[in-house]
Amino acid sequence: MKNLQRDWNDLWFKTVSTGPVGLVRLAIGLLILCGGLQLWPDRFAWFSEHGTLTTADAILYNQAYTNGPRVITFLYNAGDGAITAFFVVYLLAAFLMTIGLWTRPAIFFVWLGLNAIHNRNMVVNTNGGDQIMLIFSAYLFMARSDGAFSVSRLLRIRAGKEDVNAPTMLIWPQRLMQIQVAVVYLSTFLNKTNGDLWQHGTAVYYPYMVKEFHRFPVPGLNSHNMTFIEFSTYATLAVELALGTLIWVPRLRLYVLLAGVMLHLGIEYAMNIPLFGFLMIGTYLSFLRQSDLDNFKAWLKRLKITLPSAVDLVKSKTDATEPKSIAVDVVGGRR
Amino acid sequence: MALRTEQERIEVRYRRNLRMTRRYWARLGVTLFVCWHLLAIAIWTMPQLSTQYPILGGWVRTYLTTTGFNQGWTMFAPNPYATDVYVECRIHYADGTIRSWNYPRMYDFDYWTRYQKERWRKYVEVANLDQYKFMWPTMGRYAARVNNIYPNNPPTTVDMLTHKHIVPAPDPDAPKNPWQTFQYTSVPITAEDLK
Repeated sequence: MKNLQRDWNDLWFKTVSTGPVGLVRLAIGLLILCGGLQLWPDRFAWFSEHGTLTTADAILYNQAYTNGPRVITFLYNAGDGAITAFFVVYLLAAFLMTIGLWTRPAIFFVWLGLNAIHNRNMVVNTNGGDQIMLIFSAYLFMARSDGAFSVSRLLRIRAGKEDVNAPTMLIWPQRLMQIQVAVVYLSTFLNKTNGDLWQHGTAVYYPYMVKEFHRFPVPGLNSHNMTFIEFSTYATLAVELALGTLIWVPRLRLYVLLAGVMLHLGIEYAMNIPLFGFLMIGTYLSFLRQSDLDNFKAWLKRLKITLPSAVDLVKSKTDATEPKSIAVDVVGGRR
Repeated sequence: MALRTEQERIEVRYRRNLRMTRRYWARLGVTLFVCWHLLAIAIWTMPQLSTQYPILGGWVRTYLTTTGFNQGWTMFAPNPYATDVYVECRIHYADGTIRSWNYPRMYDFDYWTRYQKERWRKYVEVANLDQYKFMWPTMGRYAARVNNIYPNNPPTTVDMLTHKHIVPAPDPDAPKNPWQTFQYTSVPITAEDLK
């Protein structure tokens, strides 16, 4: 029982560097900002009553697609002025989230904004990337996201409140992010194994041949090259299974992440699925440890690229030098 | 070094106890939250569980849709999308002329625009389906507004046509599937619709 309690504490309440979560915030924030900027030119087409989906239609669609209570319905029946004002605030919050200034309120507004967008037009705002933005903004709100790689940290250093070592946090929000990533891949893998095209090894061919998805040419991917089609299909399944399972084996972690990066860069090259691949790669950062960041820094040093030591945003007291758990508040700040 | 007074020792002990108590309750709260949260996601992503436990399924639905944690990871699953679709609108004007206009097609755009406008592909893919026919009048009215470009010659009707092409199997000898076109609705347009 004592061991179980110790393992549980180690799993959820270990103290870790805020570096990796800071990187996740930076990456996901930037991509949320890009996603918002993509929506901006067509905001009236998607969200106004004289656009492509009235509020009445949206409610009917939501009931058919995912019925349930909603946290915010701000964009229901919104006028053009309200829609523009909403996007200005939303984009500003996404910018502040990215740079890490007034981070927690900014992330809260981003999460609220994403919910409002999602609830008003679920027809076009429910792809995998949209879900990742929504879910990860909630996890980042729970974590101490401005501990590293943030303007807040720069200001704290300047005010003498922090030294070169970035603050630490409890691991539980980061652990939730990691489990979420594994759930994404395990779930999609299990769903795919029910499909006959995946079983026969031809699945990758079809969406690539759909003109509306098409992006850059892949020379080997044609009906005369079944070997390449089968390899691509089964390799996709293998990488997804690995990201759902082998990712938890410490020795394999970085290799599995690398395979995932290759998978998404391949999809990004061949198919027009905006931001999704980059968002998934952004979520992988939650699997990094402070030691990975230190190794990266050492690698940069070997390339004669050094970070200014006074403003070392990466450096942190690693969990190896810290006691396994120390007093902390609920949201992960160190007391 | 000055020794602590009894009063100071009591205060230190009190603060330590308070810290330990807060930490205990904080950890208990986090433990309950993560257990519930992971259970909810497991039930949501495995539909057979929510049908087995309908009451729990109801709580999970409320929790996940309210917080935005509702999720489905069925992209290209169980089988990938294999149909090219676009929607053409034939706009009939008051003077009897007809103009053809397509809802934005990624195929017609350059790489950059295609990346920015991809949600139109998703919209067309969903909105033309029979199960979402309640969207068709809005779809027609939007096309009429976009194409209300001639002075004193407003659109009066919009015919909506779907063009579909199913990707053939990856077999060099497989017959090429032709594009299929059919009109799925016709939307009458009033002056009010054009505002």
